[in-house]
Amino acid sequence: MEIGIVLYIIGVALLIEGGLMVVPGACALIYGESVMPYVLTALICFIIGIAFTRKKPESGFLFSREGYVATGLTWVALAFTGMLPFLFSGASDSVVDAVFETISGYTTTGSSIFTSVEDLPKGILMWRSFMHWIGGMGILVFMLAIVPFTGGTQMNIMKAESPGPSISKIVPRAQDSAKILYQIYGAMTIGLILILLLLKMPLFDALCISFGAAGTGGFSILNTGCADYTIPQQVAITIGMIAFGVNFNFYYFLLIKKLGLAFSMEEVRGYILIILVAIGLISVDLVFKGIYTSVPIAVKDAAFHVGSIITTTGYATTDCNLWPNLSQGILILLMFIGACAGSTGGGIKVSRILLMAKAYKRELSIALHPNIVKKVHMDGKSAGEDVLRNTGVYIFIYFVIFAVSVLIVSLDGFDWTTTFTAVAATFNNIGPGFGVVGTMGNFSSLSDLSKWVLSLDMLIGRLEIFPIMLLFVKNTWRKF
Amino acid sequence: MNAVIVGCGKVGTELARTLVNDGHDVSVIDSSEKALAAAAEAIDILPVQGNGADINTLRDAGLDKADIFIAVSPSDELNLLACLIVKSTSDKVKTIARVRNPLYLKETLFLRKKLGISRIINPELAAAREIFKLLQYPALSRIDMFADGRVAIFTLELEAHHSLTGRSLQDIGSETGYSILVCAVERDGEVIIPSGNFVLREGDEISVVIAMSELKNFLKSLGARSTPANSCLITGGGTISYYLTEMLLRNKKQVRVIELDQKRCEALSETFPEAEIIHGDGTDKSFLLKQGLKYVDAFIPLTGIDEENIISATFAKNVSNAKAITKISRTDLNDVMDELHIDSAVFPKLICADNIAQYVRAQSRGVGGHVETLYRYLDNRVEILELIAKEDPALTEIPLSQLGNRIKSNLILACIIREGQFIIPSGKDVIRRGDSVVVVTTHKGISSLHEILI
Repeated sequence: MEIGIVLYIIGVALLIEGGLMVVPGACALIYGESVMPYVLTALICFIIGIAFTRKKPESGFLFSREGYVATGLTWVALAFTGMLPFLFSGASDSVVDAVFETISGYTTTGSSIFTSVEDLPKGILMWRSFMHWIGGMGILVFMLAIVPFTGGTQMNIMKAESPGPSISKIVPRAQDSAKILYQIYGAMTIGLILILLLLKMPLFDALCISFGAAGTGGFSILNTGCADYTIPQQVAITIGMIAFGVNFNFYYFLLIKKLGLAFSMEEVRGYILIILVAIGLISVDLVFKGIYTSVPIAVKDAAFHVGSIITTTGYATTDCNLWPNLSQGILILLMFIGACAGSTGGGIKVSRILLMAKAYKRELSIALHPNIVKKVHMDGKSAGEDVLRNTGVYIFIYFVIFAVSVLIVSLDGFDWTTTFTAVAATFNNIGPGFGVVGTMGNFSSLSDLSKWVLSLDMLIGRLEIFPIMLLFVKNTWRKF
Repeated sequence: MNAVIVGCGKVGTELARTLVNDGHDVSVIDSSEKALAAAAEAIDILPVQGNGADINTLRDAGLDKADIFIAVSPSDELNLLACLIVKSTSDKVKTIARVRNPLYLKETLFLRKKLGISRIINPELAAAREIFKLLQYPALSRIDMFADGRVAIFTLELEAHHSLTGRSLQDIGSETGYSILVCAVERDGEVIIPSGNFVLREGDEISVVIAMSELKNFLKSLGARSTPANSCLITGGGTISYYLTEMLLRNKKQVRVIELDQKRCEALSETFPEAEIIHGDGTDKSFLLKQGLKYVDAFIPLTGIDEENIISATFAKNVSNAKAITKISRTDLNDVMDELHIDSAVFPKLICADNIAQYVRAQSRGVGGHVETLYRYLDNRVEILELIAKEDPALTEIPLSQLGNRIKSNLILACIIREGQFIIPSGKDVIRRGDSVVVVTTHKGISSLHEILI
């Protein structure tokens, strides 16, 4: 373990976070609120950041191990500094709540412990949503894009922070890849903001909702979620959410005019197919069970929630606790599937599901013809055996962590729907679940222990297990 | 510039590392996912798995935007084919192929003119040239050229009788009358970028910049051997020996080659009637002594086994004054060679990568590249670069004495070459636009003259 380079990266990330305080600070200034919480937070970030970056480590080597540890620790550090505005502004007086809210923000979960978000200062609302935006594509990827590093092993950070079974660069340089990703991300976010403004949404709402949709976060700024927005606005948000759940390589291929490559991406096709089938089934269920009388409205709400859940955003236009069982079941399944790899969404990821489905098909062939030699193909290329092995183990350990978390949260004595979906909604970085933590509820009534466990789940889910789990392995910290 | 490399072996990896450090965007194609993963873990490249002669793989690697294409896979045929395919898709892209088979090499002119391959690199031939160069100056453990061969930088271990031993650097200029610059010293395993009052000692390994025209006389005044090696004993009759023997014979040197294989001996003897081809075991110590190891000017072990070469060279150092030049195939032994007291070691794979990198640098001059030449010295701890000065208000036309404290520590400007003139810079001198400046530094990855400033 080269601890020097790890500390240096954490330091740079904190400096960036301090700089980002400009966003909620400016917002507070405009609305005539106190800017002190943000100034103080920035100061603290700068002090720690400068202390950590004062000495540039001599060997700039960032191998796999350092990449994972730097990523894991940076996110932990960000959780404990990003919570300061909540404490300083008096929005929350408990450290657990503030940490939960911050991690929920950075990991783009969107589960909230605030019972009435409308009472919060505008600066805090802006900070919550902005955390979604920066956490969506990743603060370390952001760092790679803007801070020039020498040494050339930055790819190990990008690998650790970006979601998906196999992360590859789109151009030779990690820094250029990070820049391109953020450019696409930024342009799409601005696009969504403009559309929402055109549809007459107030600027503040348009910004917060767009940041949340872009990062697939889901903090809302109204107590009723997105229910009070007009139907065109809701449709725009739906399309926005679904667009940000697509693998960003897709947009890069569009950008360099390789339409063939873009539209033949199996993951994107699978993702769209799952969305369409889910919307269809839920719409039919809603109309037949008599929940909705108008078919277009049923389709709109079904689409909104399917998009919201599969991309792991977590916005809501209605209380899904009132929906029939089949619809709820489909939504719970979608929670686990999640968005595409290389998007801002969470969950298991469509590509992992596809890989495992194909691996299952291969096992069937092997059962029939024991000597058969068969490779699993994805996008016309054979997926490496180590990717398959990693994916299999990933999904196993995913459910182990899930099960342990459910057991701990069940100590709170809530009904099983609440317990189960509270973990599913946080671990998959979605936000609301069903029952007490449903679309119109929140997480405030959970015990501190559950909040800590769910906070950890959010981090583990966002960073895809390994960067966080490695922090608990003794060998990680050995020099030899 | 954008470069696509086919082949992720030692040469390909080393080349990718150099090009990325120089600021180019590099994709590497190889059929082995493992090799690519290992390279991509350490170097900022785009790894592409596939066959280097497959057009789709090439496109995946970004051929459309490539300025330079380098094929260094183990197969000559694949390298040539890949270059042909690339050339057929675009005329702009420069293609470089590694070709080792001497049969193809005879057709170099044809390959270049008719097939449009910009450059053919043969690692064995390049290694032979390197050895030949060292044989011209047996006192030196290494010598490299800058500015089209007008300026040399060489490394030499100081012995007690050398005239520089015991002198401080500021005295050297006035006392020897030669304009030279000692730019790096390795002493007790430490690399020092010395200042004026630094006193040289016996056993120091010094790197010196000098005008090529003065080199011979300087070595004479130093008390080191200044004449080329006239007799050479080579063990191993492989491809490098073949090329080296040819060069030596052309220069009327006495060559004796020891080769284990009878057939190979006969073939060599047929090609080189003037050389003495000995059939025998070149790793056998007493056999070597019988072949005159004690009295030969230079001993060059070129067998296929690194360890044998190193052992014979060490043995030669103990029993004779011969200059020993060892060939080493592995690239990672570079760092430990110092401990072994062998005069010089030649790494064909690194030479090959370096040669290609120099070519790429020359190509990129037109499109914003600054690095003209780059050599790594003293186990890669020192980089010696020739940089082209561009207009830069913070740097050009300012006397160096004023720049003084804004220049990084552990960095010196060894010389300025302006219109063919060689200047060892003093405080009054300025850097002008278009100058080429030789910079010696322990900082890694400097890619433009601006980066010498703090």
